[in-house]
Amino acid sequence: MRLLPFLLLFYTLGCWALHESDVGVVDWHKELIGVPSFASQSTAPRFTSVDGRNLILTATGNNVLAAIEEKDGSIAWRYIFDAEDRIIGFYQNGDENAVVVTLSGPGGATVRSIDVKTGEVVLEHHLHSNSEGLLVEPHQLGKDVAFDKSAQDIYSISNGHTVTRLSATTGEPVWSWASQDQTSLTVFDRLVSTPETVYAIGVSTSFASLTLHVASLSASTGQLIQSSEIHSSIHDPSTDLFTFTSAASPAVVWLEQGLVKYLPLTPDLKKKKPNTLSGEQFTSIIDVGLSSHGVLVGLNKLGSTVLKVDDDGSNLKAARALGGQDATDSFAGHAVNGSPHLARTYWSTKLEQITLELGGTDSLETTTQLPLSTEKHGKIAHFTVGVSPSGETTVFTTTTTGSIQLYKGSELQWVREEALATTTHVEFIELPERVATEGDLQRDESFAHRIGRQIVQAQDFPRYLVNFGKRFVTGSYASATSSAAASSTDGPLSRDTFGFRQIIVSATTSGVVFGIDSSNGNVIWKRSLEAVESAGVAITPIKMWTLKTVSDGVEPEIVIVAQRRTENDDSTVVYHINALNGDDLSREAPSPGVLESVSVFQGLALEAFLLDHHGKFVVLLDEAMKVHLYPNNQASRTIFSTILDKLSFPLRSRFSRQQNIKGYQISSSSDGPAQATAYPTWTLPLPQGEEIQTVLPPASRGPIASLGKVLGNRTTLYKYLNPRLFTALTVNPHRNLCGVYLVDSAKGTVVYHAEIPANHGTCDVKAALVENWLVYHYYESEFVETGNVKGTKGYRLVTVELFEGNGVDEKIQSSDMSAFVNATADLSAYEESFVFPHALSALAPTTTKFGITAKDLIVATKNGKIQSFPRRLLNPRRPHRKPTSEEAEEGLFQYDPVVYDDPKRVISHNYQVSNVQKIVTAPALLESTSLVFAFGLDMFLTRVAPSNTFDVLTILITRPMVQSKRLRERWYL
Amino acid sequence: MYVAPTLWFTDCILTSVPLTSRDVPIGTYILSVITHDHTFDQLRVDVLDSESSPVEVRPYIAGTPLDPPSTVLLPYPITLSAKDKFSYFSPPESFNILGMLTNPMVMMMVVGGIMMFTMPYLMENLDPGALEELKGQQSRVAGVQSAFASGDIKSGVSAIMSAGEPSKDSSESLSNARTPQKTSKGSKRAKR
Repeated sequence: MRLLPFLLLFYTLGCWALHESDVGVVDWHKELIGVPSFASQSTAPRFTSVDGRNLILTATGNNVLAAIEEKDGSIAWRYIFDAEDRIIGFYQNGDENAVVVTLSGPGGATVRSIDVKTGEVVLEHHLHSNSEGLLVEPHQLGKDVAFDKSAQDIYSISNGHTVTRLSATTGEPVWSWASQDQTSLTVFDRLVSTPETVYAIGVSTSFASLTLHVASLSASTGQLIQSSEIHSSIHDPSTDLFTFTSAASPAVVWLEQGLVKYLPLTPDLKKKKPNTLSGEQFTSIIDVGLSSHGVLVGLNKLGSTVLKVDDDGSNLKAARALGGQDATDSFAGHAVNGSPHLARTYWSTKLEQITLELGGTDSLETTTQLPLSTEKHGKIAHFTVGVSPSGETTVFTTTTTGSIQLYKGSELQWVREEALATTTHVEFIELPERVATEGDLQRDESFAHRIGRQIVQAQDFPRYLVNFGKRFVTGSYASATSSAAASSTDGPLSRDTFGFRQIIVSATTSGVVFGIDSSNGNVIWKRSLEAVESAGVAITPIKMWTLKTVSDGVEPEIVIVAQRRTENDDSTVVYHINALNGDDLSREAPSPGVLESVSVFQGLALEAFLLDHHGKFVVLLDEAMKVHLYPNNQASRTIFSTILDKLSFPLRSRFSRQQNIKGYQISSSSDGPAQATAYPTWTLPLPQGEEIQTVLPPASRGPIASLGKVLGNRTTLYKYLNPRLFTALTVNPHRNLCGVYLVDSAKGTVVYHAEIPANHGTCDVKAALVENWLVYHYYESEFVETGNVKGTKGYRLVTVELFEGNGVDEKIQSSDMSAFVNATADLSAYEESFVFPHALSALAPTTTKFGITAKDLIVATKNGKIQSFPRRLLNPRRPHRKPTSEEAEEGLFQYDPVVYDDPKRVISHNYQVSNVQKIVTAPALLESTSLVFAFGLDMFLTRVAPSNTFDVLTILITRPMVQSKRLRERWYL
Repeated sequence: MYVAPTLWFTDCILTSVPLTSRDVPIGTYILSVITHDHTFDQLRVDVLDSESSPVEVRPYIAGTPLDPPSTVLLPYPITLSAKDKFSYFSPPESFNILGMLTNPMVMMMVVGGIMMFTMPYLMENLDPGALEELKGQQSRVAGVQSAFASGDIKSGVSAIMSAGEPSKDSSESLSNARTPQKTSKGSKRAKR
């Protein structure tokens, strides 16, 4: 009977599983859409309304078409396009139409019609297959959509030469017309429709520049009525050519050497001489979304002017001047009850605020201030304005830091940080422990001061008392499934009991760095890099590391290595940030605005890595193979000079037209580490035609809890733990093969190599290496008659475990062995392949604090799920028969070729976590639990306990035990 | 050639999926429906170079060889219905006495515990002859067990062989060595 409590413990622990009550407590999910693409009118945000709901439609840089609720900024729906199906534009037949038509894919291959209310695809039609699409730059050239106003039919131009009319009801083509000249000489770029005629407007290549070419087609039959070349000279059709789509007077407007030309269109195309707007010259013309009302905005050195078509459609005239021209000005248009309104935003130096001016085409009506914090959010990059019939303005802005905001009048309604969808690098930062607030205790404080201090401190007493009482009565302590979010009274940032609350530092390609609270996904701090401030500068993060952690006794520090590209030159820069608040640590007196970079050298970095040897510092390698250090101080130089001859690293290089990998070492120089250079030592011998596709970084050296695996017969398989191993993925299009290599970076020894079939010449292999376990996923497109999983197509997961020697009890101490010992290649690989139920976009093993807990495989599937697969299931030593008792003792069970797709292990449960690019796992303070963070488009974080929460008693056990203890205490006290 | 399946979910009908006129080249395909919350059967779709029956649809089980194909032909156009809706959550564990008692381990222990207390009374109520016979049987079982447990298979086997013919001296030598309580434990071990 004494065993009963232990048995109870075993029974109630059960299997680790997700409960419905944990949703939103242990995990969070942030749906994102990406930064709106506003470069073209056809993808820029615009207001729409359906059934009384006001929505904002936008296409984004993450290839998403989204509808955002105007009232609260939530996502009404979003349509995520495949990577190869790039969105070209979305088009609506009037602001309140129930469907939005999208054109996407190479050459404008696909037309879809999407219900604005629900986001469901109503129609889909493929104009041509993806392989027939012509690739042009810019990718929007030669594609357009127009509508038949009465029948709602869709006209499209694809590939710059084919005009198709699609039925709005069936999606089937009514007619299709392709220009005779299908070479690239004439590219049709715009469509204008009238009830009888469709005009395809394009440009033809001539000697010096491009000339305008117009074809008029019969709207009902698609017959060519007239095709005509118009004497003109256009520099760039994507910025200088405009069409007026109003039904009464379709017209073409273009900019020719500073002059605005205007040509009304008639079906017979008789008029070939354009009218020229006299008087003013313009440097550029912008379409503010009012082209259907015959309104454009012209810009020149003096300012901006409204250009408006006459009422009879015969001529274009300059109307109101909109005001001074500055680089930060932006313009938008909106029609109120059919009358066009124009808005301009600019930075008012007098008010130190962004000012919005709104008016009709002839006069300025209102001026409002937008309370946009430029220090935090940057400047307005684009805005869309909506004016209600009562005159209230709604402004939707996209800032240079990628945040989107909605203002009603001058009131900010909501903000969404969409730059998070461009995250490329992520680092988990442990928070410091909570400090007792005894800091201001002074020895010689006055009596009055002490009373005052104690009164202030007494404010916290009721909360303490309530918490104490609650804990005493209910026995509720922090559990592994309780929320880690800080309460509002917790004071400065501090960790929770089990270290689930950490800061996730995210570096994005939008030039913004975020600090995110891992307990709830809220942005704690946001810093913009230089790219946001000055146009023409692009900053791309390459690497990010934690330089100092809480255990170093200081506030945690982050260092970001980035490429800084301007029009003239490239340089490699470093940002050094305090991870708790985003403060700049690279300078004595940092500026409060944008983060300033530390330039390390001119040119791009070939490689950058973090050295952790008596203190951490960054080693960067420039194009001349010269070594640079950050921080470049005496301490790091001394440490570097002592270990530089032990360093070796692989680099991708291109020689003799083949991507390959070379191994490098660093030569010690008598002139000190500043003169150290890297020299090649080995080259990976790849077969003819095989190229390196990806090099995965060496497996991060987490703590290794055990060096071997004890088998059922009391023998041991020692793990092959070579710290220098890295994974290289190759592609060989000639032989239609993909390669997986595990290579020792010190001498280029191939430790493991597998060839897998490519899918029509392309390889999409996902791989992860941790300790001695390699796992990779690919698509098997041929049905081969060999192997364990023979004769079937589909996704495969291969797991490989490397052990020392040729069998059991052979020990070579690979983890501590020098790279130059021959025995490093003395290993055996156990491998097994499985039929995997899903296509994957990312995979990662879990990591825990001490590495004792089993490592599960976390995968992001292409249908929007994050799922965990237990390591036990993926053991390559699973027997192909009934396991013997020894094998059963070891936990092995019979091999089954199909990996069981257990919905209970879908850790993202009902959330649709879309387009995950990367999964990062991080340890918590609790050994049993690992934090899993997935990002790409959406962000998702949860906790997993692969071996159950063995180090925390579940609430079900603690509570009865505490209760019985309390009962006993009452009896005996 | 186009393949346009209609998908049926348990609770709603998704509009006939508009997969139109994607030019699917001749070949063998596996059709899997990728949804977030429902499971669907996989199908094997053969697009053939024939006018009369351009598409053949067969059921397919993941992980099985494609060759030879299933003899069952499914109608075309394809209509699929959801097999199941995923349930991602486990029901919350409650401290359930009844559930705990139905656990086989607990049941075995409870029965063992009851036997421990009632066995002496049962023994007392047995008549001496039957008791003697019972002891003899138990001792032989225990002998076989201990022989196997100590790895002495040969003597274990011989003990089984001799089980049919009771020998007087063995029952005598063992009768004073074992108590009823211990025997009950031994029998429990045999059950395991």
